[in-house]
Amino acid sequence: VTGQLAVLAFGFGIVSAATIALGAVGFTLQYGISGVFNVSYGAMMIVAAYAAYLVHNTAGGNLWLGVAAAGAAGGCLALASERLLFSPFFRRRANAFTVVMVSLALGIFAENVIVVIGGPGFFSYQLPPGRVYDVAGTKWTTLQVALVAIAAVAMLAVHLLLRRTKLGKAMRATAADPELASSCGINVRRTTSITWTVSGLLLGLSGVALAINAAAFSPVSGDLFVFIVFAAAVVGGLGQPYGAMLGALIIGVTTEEMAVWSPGLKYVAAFALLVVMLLVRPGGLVQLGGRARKDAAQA
Amino acid sequence: VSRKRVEQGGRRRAMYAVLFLSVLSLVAAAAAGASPRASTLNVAVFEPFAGPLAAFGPNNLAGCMAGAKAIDDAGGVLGHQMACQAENSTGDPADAVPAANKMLTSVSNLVAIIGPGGETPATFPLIAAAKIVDFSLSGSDEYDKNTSPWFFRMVPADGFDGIAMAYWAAKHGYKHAASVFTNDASSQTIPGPLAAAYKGFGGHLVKSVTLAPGQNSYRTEASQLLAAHPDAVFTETDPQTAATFWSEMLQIGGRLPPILGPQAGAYHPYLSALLPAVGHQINYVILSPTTPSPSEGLVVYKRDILSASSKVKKPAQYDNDPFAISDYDAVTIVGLAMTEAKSTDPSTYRAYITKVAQPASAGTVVVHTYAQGIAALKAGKKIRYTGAGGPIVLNKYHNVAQPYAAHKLNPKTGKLTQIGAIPQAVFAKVGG
Repeated sequence: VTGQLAVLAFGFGIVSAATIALGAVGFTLQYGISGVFNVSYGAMMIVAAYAAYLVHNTAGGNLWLGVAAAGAAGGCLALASERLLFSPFFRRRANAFTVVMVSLALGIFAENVIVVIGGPGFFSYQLPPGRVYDVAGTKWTTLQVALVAIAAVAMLAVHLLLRRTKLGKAMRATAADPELASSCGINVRRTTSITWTVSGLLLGLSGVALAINAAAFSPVSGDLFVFIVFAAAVVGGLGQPYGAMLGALIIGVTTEEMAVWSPGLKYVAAFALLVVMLLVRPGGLVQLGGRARKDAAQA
Repeated sequence: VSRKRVEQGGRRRAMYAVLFLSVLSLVAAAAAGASPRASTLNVAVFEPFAGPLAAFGPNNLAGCMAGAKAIDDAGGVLGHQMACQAENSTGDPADAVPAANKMLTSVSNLVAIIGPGGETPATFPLIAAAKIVDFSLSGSDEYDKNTSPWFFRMVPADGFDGIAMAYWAAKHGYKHAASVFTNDASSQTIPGPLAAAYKGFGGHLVKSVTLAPGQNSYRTEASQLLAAHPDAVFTETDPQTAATFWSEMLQIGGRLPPILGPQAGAYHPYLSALLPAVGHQINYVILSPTTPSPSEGLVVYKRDILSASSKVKKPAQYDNDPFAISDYDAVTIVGLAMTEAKSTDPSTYRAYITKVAQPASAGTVVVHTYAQGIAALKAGKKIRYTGAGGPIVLNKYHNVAQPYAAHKLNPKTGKLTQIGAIPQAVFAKVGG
């Protein structure tokens, strides 16, 4: 029975990883380009999920409209927070702790805005799970397949953006060395804002994926989940989108496998992994290599 | 010359500002002095109003406000109006201590407190030291044999919940049940008494799953539970965990086994998270000592709960909630005890609380509302209060001691219907 459960848990881990990856890649893009450890990220995910909830309810239960609304809301929120809130602190060269505190305040503000508008209770999209598919000992519902598909498409889009477009090259160059990128003619400010918008889009998708996955969400549902997102980003290597994808996969599968043996220690396993990674390989699984720096030079 | 004029103008402006502020202060002071709230008796609802448990505060505030409205409509208590104040207990014992200190120093004419729940061990010593009556919402077993004169508990003890669930399952042929509880302190006081009682009733616990609360998925844990093929499941978790766990179990298994939960499972925030998540496909029985019956007390409660709309969003959603109902009854009991004691001083009226909340006996009059109680007391009669939540019996430990009832949840309406009772003898037999 334990063997069967372990196989099942692997499949469930993929679904969890999909949700985590959307958030972790978005978070790491923000960190990579601006160096901001944005702790309001979880609250922003929930704001986007709430926007999807409002659109989903008013649009007669159309999930895809809700997903689009979450992405749009996430993108707008991230752009607005970067331009209006964080940029003034960047310009004053505020220290990292100050910026973290600002993001903490933003997160608390965002959560309370939802409480004021929607109340402190719970919200649910009330989606039917659809059929259950048995695949090689794992079980997937239609909804879970959709979640994994959304994450896979988003990851592919991020890959193509980073590797096949000028903008992606500029993003990588700015993340690697903003001063060098600027001296090479890259509009760093514009690139930073676009990166925040892209990360916001992913944040929105992650929020709606979390809300679908958890079946119900409240204004504070992102508070714990965001630490799993952080763990995935750090395990993969902060600022490294591919690292965040890998980190999400490892964290997602590890937590579900841990649930087979000791459900109460699921998240403990994730953070134990994080500590081990920081001890053994402080830069994460995927570290900033020569290629990123070369991009900056080439640009 | 121009500099002198500027200086003179500045001085004049400063003088006007000082005058304006002085007048404003005088007006404010006069307004405060003339306020009818000076003689208002305050009941603090010390529950979370922010953070992860923020939905619980308004739930309890609604019940309190309905009780205060009923009292005020009947002329108040000894000439005083009654009001409920929302005080955020935060949900975290560490943060609740400064919050309790703030409440005790800032709420004037504080005569009673409703709440908190899990924060009680941290905050009750402060409340007792301040000599305020506390209707705690904690189910912790450390208060089962309470000796403090300031502590009262109208919600069931966790151990009793466990015995009630075990009895009901065994009685209905569920002899191979499983249990799902979260690993937080407030949920972990049920599994022990539950397991012992269930074994005593001839049941066999086929699987016990302990969840870490607030995670984004419990599919593996749900699969474990399904693999044990339980014929019923005992549970108590937080609302978010319940929604995620049961919806995923439904996805994997196609249907849910019968679920048995304690009174906490009838909290409105819990049901508002759970029911939409499971698409109303749930067979859920709740065991609770609060037994709302179609009495005059319940009719008045349902009418008065709507009056809480100025401070509580959609108060009508709590018209079926056992916690809001027991808060309503607690406030009514406070009012009746004060009237009987002829004092609003907690040190005096607290002794009358258990006199009002006793089974009816010869020479006593059963009253269902505050107005009825006042009329009976004025006529020189001894009263026994049977409130919106049915008969209320507080034992020598100031704990509820009335029989439990089983309530079936209608998943489409969220309403509870009483389907049976558990006699008090069951608890005595098991040692509860």
